[in-house]
Amino acid sequence: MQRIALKGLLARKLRTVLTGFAVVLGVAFVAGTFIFTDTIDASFNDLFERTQKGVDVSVQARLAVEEEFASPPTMPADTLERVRSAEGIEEAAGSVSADGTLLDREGEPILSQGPPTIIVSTGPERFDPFTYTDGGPPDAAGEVVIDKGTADEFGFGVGDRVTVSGRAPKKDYTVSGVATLGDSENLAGSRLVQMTLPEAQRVTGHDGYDEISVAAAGGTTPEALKAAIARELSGDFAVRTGEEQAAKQAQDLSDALGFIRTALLVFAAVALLVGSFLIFNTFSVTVAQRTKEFALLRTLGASRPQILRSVLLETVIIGLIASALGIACGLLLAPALAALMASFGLDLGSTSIVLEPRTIFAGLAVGMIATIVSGLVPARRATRIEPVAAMRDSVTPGPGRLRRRRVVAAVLVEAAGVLSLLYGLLGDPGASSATATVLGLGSLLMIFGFALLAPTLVRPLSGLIGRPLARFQGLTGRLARENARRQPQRTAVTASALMIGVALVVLVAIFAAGLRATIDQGIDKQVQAVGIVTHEDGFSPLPDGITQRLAQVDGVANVSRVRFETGRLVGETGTTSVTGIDTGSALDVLRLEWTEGSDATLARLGDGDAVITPDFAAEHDLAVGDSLRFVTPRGPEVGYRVAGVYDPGAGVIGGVLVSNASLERSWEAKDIAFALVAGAPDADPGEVKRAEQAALAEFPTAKPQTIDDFKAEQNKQVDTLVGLVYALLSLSVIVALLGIVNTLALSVHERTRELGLLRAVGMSRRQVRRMVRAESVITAAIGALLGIVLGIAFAAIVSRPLASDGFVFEIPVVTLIVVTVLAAVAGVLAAIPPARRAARVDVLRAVTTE
Amino acid sequence: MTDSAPQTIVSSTDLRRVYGEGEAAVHALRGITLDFPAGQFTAIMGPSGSGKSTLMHLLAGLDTATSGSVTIDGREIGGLGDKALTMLRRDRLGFVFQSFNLVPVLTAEENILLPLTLAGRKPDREWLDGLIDSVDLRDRLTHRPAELSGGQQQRVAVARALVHRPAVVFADEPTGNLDTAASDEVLGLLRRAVDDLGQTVVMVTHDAQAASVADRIVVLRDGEVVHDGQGESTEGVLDLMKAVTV
Repeated sequence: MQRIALKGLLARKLRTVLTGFAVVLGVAFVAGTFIFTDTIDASFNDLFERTQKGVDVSVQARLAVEEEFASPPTMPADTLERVRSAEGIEEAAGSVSADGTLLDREGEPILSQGPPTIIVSTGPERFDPFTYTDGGPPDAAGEVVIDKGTADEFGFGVGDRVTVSGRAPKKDYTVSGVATLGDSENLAGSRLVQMTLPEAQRVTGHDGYDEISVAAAGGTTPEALKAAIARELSGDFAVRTGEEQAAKQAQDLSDALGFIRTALLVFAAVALLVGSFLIFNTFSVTVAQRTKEFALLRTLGASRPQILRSVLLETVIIGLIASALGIACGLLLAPALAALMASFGLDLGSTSIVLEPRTIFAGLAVGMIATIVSGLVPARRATRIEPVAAMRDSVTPGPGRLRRRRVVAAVLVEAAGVLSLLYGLLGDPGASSATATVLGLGSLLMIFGFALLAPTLVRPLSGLIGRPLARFQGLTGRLARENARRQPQRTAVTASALMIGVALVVLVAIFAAGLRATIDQGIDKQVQAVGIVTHEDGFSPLPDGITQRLAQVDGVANVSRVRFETGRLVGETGTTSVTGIDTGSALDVLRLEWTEGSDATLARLGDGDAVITPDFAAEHDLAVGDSLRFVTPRGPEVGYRVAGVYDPGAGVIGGVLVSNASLERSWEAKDIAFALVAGAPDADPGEVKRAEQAALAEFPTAKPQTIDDFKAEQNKQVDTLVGLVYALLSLSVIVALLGIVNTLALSVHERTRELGLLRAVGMSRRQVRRMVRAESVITAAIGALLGIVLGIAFAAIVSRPLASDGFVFEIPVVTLIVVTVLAAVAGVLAAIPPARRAARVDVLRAVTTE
Repeated sequence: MTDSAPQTIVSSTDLRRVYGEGEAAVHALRGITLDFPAGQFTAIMGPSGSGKSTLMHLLAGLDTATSGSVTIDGREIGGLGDKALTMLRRDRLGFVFQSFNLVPVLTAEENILLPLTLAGRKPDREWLDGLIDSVDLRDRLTHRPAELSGGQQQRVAVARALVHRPAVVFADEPTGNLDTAASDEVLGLLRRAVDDLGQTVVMVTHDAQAASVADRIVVLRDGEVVHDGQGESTEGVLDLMKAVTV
């Protein structure tokens, strides 16, 4: 029996290859994701070990509220003296590091959506992680060293002038050296600018040290030194050995980037799911076509378990080979993923590829499981073939049964899917991983519900779609429609595979449209400023220094700053967004919708007052007059009294509102998130913007915009993200198209005699191709229609909880039409190989009775 | 051939067909020269492997000869490409096969009209009505092949072969899968097409009774014509076959 399985595979090479290819793509995505993220992790580990070179103990301040990408607060300068008072120290030195901006040769800021540019200070040689490929460390305040990656990319060399800006206004420097971090030309994608310590402190505004590095004296172990230093310092400081510090930094960055791995794995899972539909279909058709063969084997005495084993063995072999190939392809895909991320602004640097055993194991496991599970139902079907079928003269499999039972099952599965989605969204499944599981399960059930229902929809849908085809294409269109209906289950599964990708595209499209509308409406509702000044990249903080200069610009009546902080309510684990506003000028630039209180509340807002949102009030059972207490990231705990309740909608500010004065004093907040500008009467937004640009020349990262510019910018960010998601979904769509190719190829093979007959009575090759093409278009269009309906259903459900945040549910009709047209075009493309094959059918062989 | 002889619709000259090469070569046809005049019903007979089916495939342009030539309706088909052959089949030839004659997803009427629809032509309604009546399928027109009996299916096939008034109808064992009554009906239809419409029919068969309706009987053996003569009764055909194949 094993030999029969092997020979069967060899005899049906094309089918085997096409089926296997779907698995290869899915596994490649999984493996590629692991390889890609493992490579990043490895390079982080490598880099941070290098940055901790020569460091036995490292001291940092503790961040009271843990937040991704947040740096610990700067330690006061006297901390270094306290550290030095510990026993067993050979050398101790403080350093600063903070985000800054480097300007290119044209004076434009070098920006990135991913890793920032970091300003670091020099230190004693033993702690210096750099290898200078050219020149040496900066000796004077006017000198800097830049990383080799940046130097090469922008053509900077030793002796060149470069401009750097931080919290202080921009300043020109001379490049004293170009450096690498070991083998890496930069820090995991981050650009590096090294300055003398005092200059770094001035530019970053960090008056103290962000980190203190200590080398142990001979005979003192790092652990002993760590304990000694910890005794000198309070619990506000984190004292770690160099190794611990490197591991922690790498781990923090890896955790912060963990969402990338999760997101990529979700897309990989989608591609595999689509691939499973393909495998299921191929095995189903193959088993049906081999009815006589199995019946003959049964007649010759093969038992049902033997048949089952034979078919399953085929799936195992395909799964094994395809998974292995998939892992190999993953090695190629990993750099492609890195390039894709980079093209969307997430450049994570690159090092040599890391293939962990876990990657191989996971790739093999998911590939094998997907293949075997998909092949199980067809294999069981093969065992049910009666020996007498060998005698029957049925060449083509009859249409499958469409029972009412199936519809009932589909509806039940669908309902279960909707319910678990709603539970995941509105209910409280507990941990975020539990929520994700419930949501994933709900989506999966909804997809399967649709797929189960699809066969009953094939007839009416192909009738609907086939009508114009039959009309304009005549007989070939009509034949295509009938052929699509012939085996509704086969067409349905093929279409369902495409449906999945289309549904997700539609979901994303609806969300993007909703976000755009929400942004526009939210800003229109809340903002009455003439302009806004943000960081060039749209999200980084800005130095507070811009405020003074803006206030002096012609046409500017007032400037109102907004700060974003993250606090934690005392006694709770979750974090809360806190927004700082200038109470005196906020109402010149913002409109607030009050639930309790009025504009007067804001004007009167004291340093101990806070305005909260209805959601926050409900969640923490707070009312006007109640007190709340925050743990702040850098400062001490601070208490507030609830002065009012406002509805933030989807505007530029949200969360708990407190005064900027309070943030500065109690939270040690310095930088601002953005500044809103109130115009003088009759001020022209465009003119104000130009005047602001001139006034902010020293702060190249500050970007004055009109409110319309700002809305467009926000929309562009949505578009970028959507583009990335589409790119990742494209793989699933490609797998689904392979499914159409495969199904059509199988059908063409099955209908050889019919095609021969049609050719004999005068159908031209062109007409044959048109017929196959039309069938492909019908299948693709069914998939697109199902996908659009499913996608809208997904979006309607998933956006429910966002409705209260002002989310606007909008169906992007144009996008949906484009999706449908693209699906039809894809159908035409997918039809090319099978149509060519059909047109080449040998009339003679087809009509000759054997 | 004299001027008064009826026009020749199909003819072959020294037609040869070899399968395979060298030692393993099989000579299916060893030089067949035949003329099929208009309005004649010819039965091509012969034992299995005699080359009768190969001959028909070559005459109909479904297969390519190793050497020799075939002329249909005054046109030498040897050098024709796929497109021209398709047009030729669509416009000038009719086919009836032993089985799998009809497109399963089309109704009986659509199957009958297939050659016209493929050519994008409208049927001559009166002619079509007459044809449908003569094959006695008026009440079966909207049925699909799966809902028709074997005999009915073959009658649809005959109607389809005649609907575009081809120069010649090729029938390959048209009664091979039918019982006697259904066979008689199909053969009667072909006979009437010749008698009433002046249709030319070339039929390959190994069934003596089927051959007995023909005007002319050609017998092949080992790729050569061993008999070419007038039509015979069933018994006459049987005797003839015995005589030439033993």
